[in-house]
Amino acid sequence: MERMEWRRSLLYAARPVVLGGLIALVLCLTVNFQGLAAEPATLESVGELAVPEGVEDPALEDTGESFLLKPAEGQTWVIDQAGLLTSEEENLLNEKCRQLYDTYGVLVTIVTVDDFGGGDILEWQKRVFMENPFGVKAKDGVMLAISMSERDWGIQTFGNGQRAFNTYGRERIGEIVVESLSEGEYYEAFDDFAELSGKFLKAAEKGKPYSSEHPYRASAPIWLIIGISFGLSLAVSLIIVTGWKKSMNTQVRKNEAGQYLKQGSFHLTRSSDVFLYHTVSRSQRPKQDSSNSSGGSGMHSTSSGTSGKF
Amino acid sequence: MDFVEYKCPCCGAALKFSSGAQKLKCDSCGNKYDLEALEAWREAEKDAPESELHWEYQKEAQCAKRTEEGKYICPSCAAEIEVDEDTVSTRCPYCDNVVVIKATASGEFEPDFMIPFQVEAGDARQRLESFCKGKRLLPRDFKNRSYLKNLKGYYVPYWLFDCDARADMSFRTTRTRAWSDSEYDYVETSYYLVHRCGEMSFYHVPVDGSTQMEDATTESIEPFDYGGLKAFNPAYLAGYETDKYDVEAEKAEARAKERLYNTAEAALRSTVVGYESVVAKRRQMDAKSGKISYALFPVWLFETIYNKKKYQFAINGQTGKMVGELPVDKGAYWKYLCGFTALGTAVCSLIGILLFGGVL
Repeated sequence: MERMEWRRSLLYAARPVVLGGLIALVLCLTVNFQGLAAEPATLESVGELAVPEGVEDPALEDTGESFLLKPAEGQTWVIDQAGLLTSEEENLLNEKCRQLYDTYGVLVTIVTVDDFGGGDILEWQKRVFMENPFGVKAKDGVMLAISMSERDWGIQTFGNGQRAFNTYGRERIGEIVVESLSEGEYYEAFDDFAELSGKFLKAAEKGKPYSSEHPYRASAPIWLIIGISFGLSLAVSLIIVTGWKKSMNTQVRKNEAGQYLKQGSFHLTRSSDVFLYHTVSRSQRPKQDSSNSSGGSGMHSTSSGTSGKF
Repeated sequence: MDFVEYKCPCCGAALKFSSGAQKLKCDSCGNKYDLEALEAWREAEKDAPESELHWEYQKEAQCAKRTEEGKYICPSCAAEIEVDEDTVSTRCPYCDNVVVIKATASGEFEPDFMIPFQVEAGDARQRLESFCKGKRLLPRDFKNRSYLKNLKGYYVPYWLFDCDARADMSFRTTRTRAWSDSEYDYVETSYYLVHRCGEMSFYHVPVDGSTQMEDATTESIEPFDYGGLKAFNPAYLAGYETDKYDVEAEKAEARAKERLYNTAEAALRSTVVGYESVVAKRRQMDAKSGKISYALFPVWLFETIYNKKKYQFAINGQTGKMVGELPVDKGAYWKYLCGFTALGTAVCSLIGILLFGGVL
């Protein structure tokens, strides 16, 4: 009996605990869900990334979807919605970006879409990063995004990524990447982006991020340096050794006899210059391409992103 | 009456007279020409060979040739002259020119001039050693050879050509002008016919009269200082080898003519200024008072055979100028070439990688 009472009193006492547990579970789930959505909100403190509350984003409205990009099933660093890459190329790029993430803790991502909905691609990139479709948790990152219909490209940084990818860095990377993009060599462009990101991150980690004072110089391939060195050395060596060889023979036939001309004996007796005819040739001048965006003229930079057309 | 067809110097089309411009006009390329310019052009275009220069060998001109009958032929009027055997020279009774008899009759042929040796044999050896010094491609065993024993002092026979020349040459020249507008770059090339005529005098242009000496060698040791020129005296020949010429003056003339033509062209060309290009079109030259003299000039000569090839070195016995061709050690040539290339490649690659390889 006492035993029954004890059980009854125990159930009675446990009721609020279970209820509380259920409430806590619901709350937990709610918090977790909001936490996922709001996780990058911590980045809003970085200033440029902050999206003021109450400000509606046209890109979000235009899509009419709950996600700008379909979230990846596992972890990914490359989302090729425009289908510009083969699966092999995507894997290679993913592997490179994953290594950068493992090394530097910075999310280097590449996104391609057919149509991002118009507006500012950098703002759109911020939304994408907030949604985090990559399945990788990171506060710091850099994203290269291209939209095929608008021919827009953008490099947007997040968190401490801005240290390595400052305005100079983004524009410098943009200059290099946009060349391949314009020629339709998308994999080369993304591969360059990943390579350059590694170099810029490394420089930042060493405490000397690339900037206008410490500019990035594209490194030449080793085989090219050795090849040019060989060619130059061979040419110089040939000049030296051939010079030595020539000095072995000092015999030179004299085809003139100027030294036997009596001094002061030469004088002109007749002289005439008759104009015969003339010809005129013309060649088209190279046209100044006003649409050329080299040198960053076609780029637009904010404090955290750089964008342009390709 | 002969009709002359004028062709356009620019495109070769037939020209027509334009009454409006009072010039000959080409319908093909549109150029217009003055008649005087066309005449000058036609004259320059004529395929006239370079004129022969006429020389006179002074001594030979004065010397009379002996006939089988023992008489002599006057070189001026070809008259037969009868003289005694001991006669050295006489005056032709027909043309009144002085005729030299003895030299020709005796078969001897003395040089007109000579320059005695002024560089000693020891000095010549030192100059050859200096010439070999510092030559990295010289075979080691060549330096130790006994070629110095082959040193010989040698009086080389030369023909000396003198003349007062009149050169008449035409040059085709161009002058260009460039300008641009918003769409095109233009280049206008104007063609001119430049005519120059000048006079000049040459004194003792030397041409080697010996087949033993290579022409490249004898021309390379020029010039001799004619201030040291002396009348021939056999006393200077003692202790040195001397050969009589074996290249006739007539054969040597060709080389003299070539050098005189080139010199006259260079002299006239130096007065053609203000043009981008100058190309000789026609060369004519006449020589007055052409005279050939025979001279002996001093040369120290070394000859050796190395690897079955003859090497000749010569030193101007008056000025000490040394010329010659030394053998080249092919092994050393490739060793230095490969060594320098390898060293250069290593150093340049290292610098290149540091500067451009992304290391720094």
